[in-house]
Amino acid sequence: MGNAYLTWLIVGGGLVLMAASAAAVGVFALLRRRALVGDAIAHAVLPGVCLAFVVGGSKDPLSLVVGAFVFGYTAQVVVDWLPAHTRLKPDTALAVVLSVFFGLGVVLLTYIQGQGNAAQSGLDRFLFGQAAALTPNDVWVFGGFALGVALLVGWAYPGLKLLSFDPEYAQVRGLPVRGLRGLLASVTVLAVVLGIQAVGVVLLSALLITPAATARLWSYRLGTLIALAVGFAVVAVGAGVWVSAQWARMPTGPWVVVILTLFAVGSVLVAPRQGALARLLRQRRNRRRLVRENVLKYLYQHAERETRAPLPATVLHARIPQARAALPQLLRAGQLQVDAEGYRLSPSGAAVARGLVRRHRLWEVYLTRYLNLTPDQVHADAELVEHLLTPELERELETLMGRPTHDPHHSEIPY
Amino acid sequence: MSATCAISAHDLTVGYDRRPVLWNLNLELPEGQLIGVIGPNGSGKTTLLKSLLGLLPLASGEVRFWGQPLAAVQAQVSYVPQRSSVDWDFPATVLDVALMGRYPVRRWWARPSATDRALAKAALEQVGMLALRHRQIGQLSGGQRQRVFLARALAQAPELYLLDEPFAGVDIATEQTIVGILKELRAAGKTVVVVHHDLKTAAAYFDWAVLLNQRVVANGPAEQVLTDELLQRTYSGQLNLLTAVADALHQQELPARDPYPTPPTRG
Repeated sequence: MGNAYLTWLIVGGGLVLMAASAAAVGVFALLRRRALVGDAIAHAVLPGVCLAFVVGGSKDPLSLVVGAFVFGYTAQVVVDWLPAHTRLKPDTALAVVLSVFFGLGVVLLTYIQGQGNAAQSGLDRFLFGQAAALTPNDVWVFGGFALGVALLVGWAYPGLKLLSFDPEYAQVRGLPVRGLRGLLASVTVLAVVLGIQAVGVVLLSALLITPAATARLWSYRLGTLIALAVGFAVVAVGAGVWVSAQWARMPTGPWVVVILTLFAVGSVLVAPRQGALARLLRQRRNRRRLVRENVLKYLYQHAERETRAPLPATVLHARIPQARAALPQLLRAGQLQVDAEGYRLSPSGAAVARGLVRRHRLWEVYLTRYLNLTPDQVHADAELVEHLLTPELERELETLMGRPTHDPHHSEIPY
Repeated sequence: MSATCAISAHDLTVGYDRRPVLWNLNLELPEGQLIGVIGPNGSGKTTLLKSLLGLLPLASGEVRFWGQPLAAVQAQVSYVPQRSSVDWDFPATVLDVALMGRYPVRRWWARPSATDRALAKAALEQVGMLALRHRQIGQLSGGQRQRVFLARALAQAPELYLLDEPFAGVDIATEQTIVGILKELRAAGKTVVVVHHDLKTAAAYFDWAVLLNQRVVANGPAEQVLTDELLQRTYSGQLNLLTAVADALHQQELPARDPYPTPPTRG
């Protein structure tokens, strides 16, 4: 029991450190529109791992990582070089590099497996990853890398931010653009190389990009975004480790990726402002406001047209079918008064209604004067615009047209 | 090289993919003027600006700012790129972008100081964007984005401003605000270079003009340069021949310069 606990602690600790650093690095990859580069690197390191094994003849982790790093970095350079110097587009370059390097890797791997070297078993850990096989040594390496990433991002944060936003401006400002790019490229490759051992080639870009993509839905401040991405990664690792500890033969790495994906999907639904739910609520709020304002305006025009007598509820419901929900809201807001005879505007409701009618009529005047529309063409447009003209725009309209007294239909404009 | 020359480019040739866009260009721009770089689409205006700033590899030639290379006077030169050159969904606020203008006055890894913040805010105030300083930049209109870009340059407080099409696609109010600020800068002795496409406003905005169409057609005080005849020469088809030659170069894969030039027979 104690031993199993220790194993899970090592796996969990290693994965947390690795996923957290990959998430932080991934934020910059995403912002620099290089979301797919991680995928290309992940595939490209395979021949490096195999070559290192062939040359070294052993599974010495350091030489495997060095081999992987060299090929991963080369892949990234080629991905950038191809579109700049040939007719190939960036997406083509990515596809070419990914498949050519990976193909080469599979050829080498097949060759090694044919050699029957006993030490080769476990090389395919680089292909599919095996979080459960993490050793205390791996945890130290991941920890060192996480610390390195934290120090780099903490120190170079302002420069990285400018480089990611506007690289040309950064260059004119005299930032060491080449050096910073190289640094980012290196940590990206390292994050990929280390991460592959835990989750494998195919799932790696999920660790790199999904936390950042999810965090983008929640914040538009870079610092918060990085913290959120790291937080999502850590929580997903915790949950993934828990799942695979609870049920036998549940793979840890893939579960982490599944949970990250759930976070992403959930965020698309519930994120503030950009989420689907927030949008729905916003639309509902707007619709309700429109109906409320239409009720107020109708009552105002009723009073203006006919009498100051209250308007019976039946008439109101017939004219504005959606009014049923709006009436209690207006009563609560004190903009409406009701008695046995029907509804009438309160002073504050009348003020709101007057504003609406004024904006409506001002807009009609504007359209007829400046867009040469005839009076019968302008009503529909003004029906919408009355709800959205801000006080500033209204003032501007007034000064532009010198406070006209009547709209094109000869109704008085109430100021 | 006279000391009153803010920018001088000598023998500048720049091309994309073996197609020269600027040919043997010589250009001297005076200090303390509001300068318009004017020419039709594809005449190399943006290319010129980027080449001056070292953002494009030069096939030949050299660029000097007050007689010195850019690296020596970096703090005094600012650049306002085209709005379309960046991703406006980037997680940054208006104030964040204005603060970016404080490089390299502060070192690129340093956090902004109180002075940096004060200057960035003053710059935003100047362009009328201070109230929106906590907005995410993606929520801004085109004109507001242009103002923020200008504020970033103003926050740097340099001697020389290079602006790429600052009036493209902005509302009239923004255009007037920007022109007003540029004229104030000129009055304060700064040099302002603006890539501009609108001939109608050129004479009103600039006191010095460069007419560009792959070569410098004219370079001088605006009233001498913005003449019907010179504009005709810049905008009419007379220079189509240049493009045709550039196309031929591209197709035959010849270098932009003869690598084995014959020495002139005389002189």
